[in-house]
Amino acid sequence: MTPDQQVRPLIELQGVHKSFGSFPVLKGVSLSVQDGGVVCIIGPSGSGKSTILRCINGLTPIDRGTIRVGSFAVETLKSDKDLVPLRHQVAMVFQQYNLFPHRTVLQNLTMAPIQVLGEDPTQVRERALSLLAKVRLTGKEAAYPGELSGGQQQRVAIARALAMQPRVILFDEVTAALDPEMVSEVLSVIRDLAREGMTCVLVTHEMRFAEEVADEVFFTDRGVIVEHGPPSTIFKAPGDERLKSFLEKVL
Amino acid sequence: MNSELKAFTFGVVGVTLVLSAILVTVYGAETGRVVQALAVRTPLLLSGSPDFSRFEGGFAANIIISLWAMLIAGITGVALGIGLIAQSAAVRTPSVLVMNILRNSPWLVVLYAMLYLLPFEVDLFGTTFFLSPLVKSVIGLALPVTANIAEVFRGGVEAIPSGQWESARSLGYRRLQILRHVVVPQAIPFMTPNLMTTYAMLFIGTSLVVVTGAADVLSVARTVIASDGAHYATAIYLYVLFLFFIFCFPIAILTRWLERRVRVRQ
Amino acid sequence: MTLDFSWLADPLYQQWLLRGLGTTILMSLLGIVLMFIIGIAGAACIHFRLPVLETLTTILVELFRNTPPLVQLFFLYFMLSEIGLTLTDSATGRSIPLFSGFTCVVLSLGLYNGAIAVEIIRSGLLAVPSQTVEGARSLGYSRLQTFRHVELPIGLRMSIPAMTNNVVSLIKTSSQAVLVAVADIMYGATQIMLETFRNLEVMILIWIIYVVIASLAVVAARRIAAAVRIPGYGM
Repeated sequence: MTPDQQVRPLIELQGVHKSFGSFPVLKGVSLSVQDGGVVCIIGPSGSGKSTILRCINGLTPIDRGTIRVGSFAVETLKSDKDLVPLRHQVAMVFQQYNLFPHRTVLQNLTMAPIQVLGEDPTQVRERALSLLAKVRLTGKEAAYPGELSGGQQQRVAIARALAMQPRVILFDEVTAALDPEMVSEVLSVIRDLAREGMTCVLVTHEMRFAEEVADEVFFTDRGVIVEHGPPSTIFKAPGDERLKSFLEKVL
Repeated sequence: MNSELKAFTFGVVGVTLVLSAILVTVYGAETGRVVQALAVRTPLLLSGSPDFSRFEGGFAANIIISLWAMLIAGITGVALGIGLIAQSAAVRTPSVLVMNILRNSPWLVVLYAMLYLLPFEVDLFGTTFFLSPLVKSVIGLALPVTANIAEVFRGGVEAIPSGQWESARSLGYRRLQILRHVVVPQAIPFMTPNLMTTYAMLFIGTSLVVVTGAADVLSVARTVIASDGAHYATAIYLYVLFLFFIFCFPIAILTRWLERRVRVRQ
Repeated sequence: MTLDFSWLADPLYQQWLLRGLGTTILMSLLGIVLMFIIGIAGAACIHFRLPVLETLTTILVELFRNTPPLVQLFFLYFMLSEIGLTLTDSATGRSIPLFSGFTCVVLSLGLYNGAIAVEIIRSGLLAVPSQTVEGARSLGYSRLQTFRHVELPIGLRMSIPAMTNNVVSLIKTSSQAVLVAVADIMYGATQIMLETFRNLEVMILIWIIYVVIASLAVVAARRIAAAVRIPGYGM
């Protein structure tokens, strides 16, 4: 164990339960993410992977258990006002990009820092321009999201998340809606982020990518975490039967 | 029907409460007497006769006018609608022009214009037809509604996939035959809710025939106010509002229900 | 039947018509402003499910949408004077209503078309994709901020076609102002008819003028729609 991993994790979930109506989606999920760590959550559809992410940034309130992000106890934050500082630290990138169609690419990046965080517009603008360069979209500042390809839109969404200067970014199946030839351009942006030490939690179906970038992989099935460990163990020497059959199907 | 039934009950109860609240606020301690006066005048407002002996005036006249106007506008509207989707520009262009003009005309102006344009009587096939204010009202309302119905017709026809046209054409059908036997029967579910909305709009528009001198509910209301005193004006107009609401609201609710059913079936 | 438009050359009649036209346009513009205020405020009450206000808005929208604007106008006109909102004219000693016919017409246009606008804006808001809203929420926007910066701008754009019809309806409905003695263009027309007896010709001219105003409104709405169009967004 490196000394790094002995400090308090940045994100900690303990015994998280969540039901939609009478249907239990999460049945006691516990996981932790170190500061600067890259965690991948894999598992079959409907196993509650996305719900875990949505609970971490408070989009979905939980029924039971605790979620701690930095100094925030997420399950105690109820109102918008309480959730704003949390969302400042936890950014999210969605499968469907969820960009604002009525604003230009640059405005999509600058809106929230100016309107929500009340930052100085000139500074935000400079930061946004350098972020666009980082996701290789310089020149697209004045374009509208609807004029871009899916891969480009998703890179704008990642830049938008980064513009909030978060401590952690949650990626919710960000390549699932993309055409195959666009997947790699998005993954390479995420790879750069991971290398720079940004804390990332990814829900993904890209097993090779998970194996490459993750420090730790969690396998969920039917609302529980069945197995977790470093990618070498999970992918090369899976213990659980369910994980084995899942990997056989997807690899 | 469940959610619509709930909305219906909610709307009827709510609107009745709101209107009653206004009545009480305006008249205060006098409310009882005012309600009594309204009860006495109810037969006149509803049927145009003091004892329900005839149904040719008042609210009944509004219903009669609306039904005739809808019937006429239905025929002219479909004709104009066929013109709107005609292939030949010589038919389509004037149809579009007529529809745009009718759609942008205030109903009140059309009613006034009909009042002066239409003669007092016409000779048709040797018979003299007397053009009463009621007949002029019907024509004056049918004219702008023609545009609405044409639009509904076009919308319904365009909702049917072009594959239907192609396959019917490949079977040797001609254009009007395709419309009649293939497209329109399929389009009726799409058109029905919009036709009902058009009818409700037309019915609301019948309030304007007061300017033609027809014995509609507003004319009767004005007569009643003239004889009972301006003091009763607020109460009488509240009552007329309620009459229109209780007639139009069920149509609106039924329309919503039909729309939902059409959406679900798709 | 021959049409005689020679009366149009009379400068007095021209002046009546132009003044009336000015009143009609002013009334319509004020009505449109009030319509938007009521439409947005009402849609927001329902959107945010504000207690009491949501119920009241829903009921009033049903009431105004399902009753004739003319009866609403008469009702408003008489109720406002009935409940004693009158001024005493110092010159004649007669009591005159505090709310003029003009004010009543603007109010009634705002209420009737505003009620329709509530429904239009509400369905525009419902058409905003939930993912877009979620995107805003995840960036820390509050519900009110999301409404102001994301839902309303997109929802209003989506409601432009229906709103255009509503504005045309408002302009057309404004013609009933003449029935509460507002000196609008219809009033000017009736005055001319009384003097010239060219009833049909006057009405045809008024008809043309209304069609032109309404068509101009449609053109203006198209310009606005084009100016605020979202590139690449299927609208």
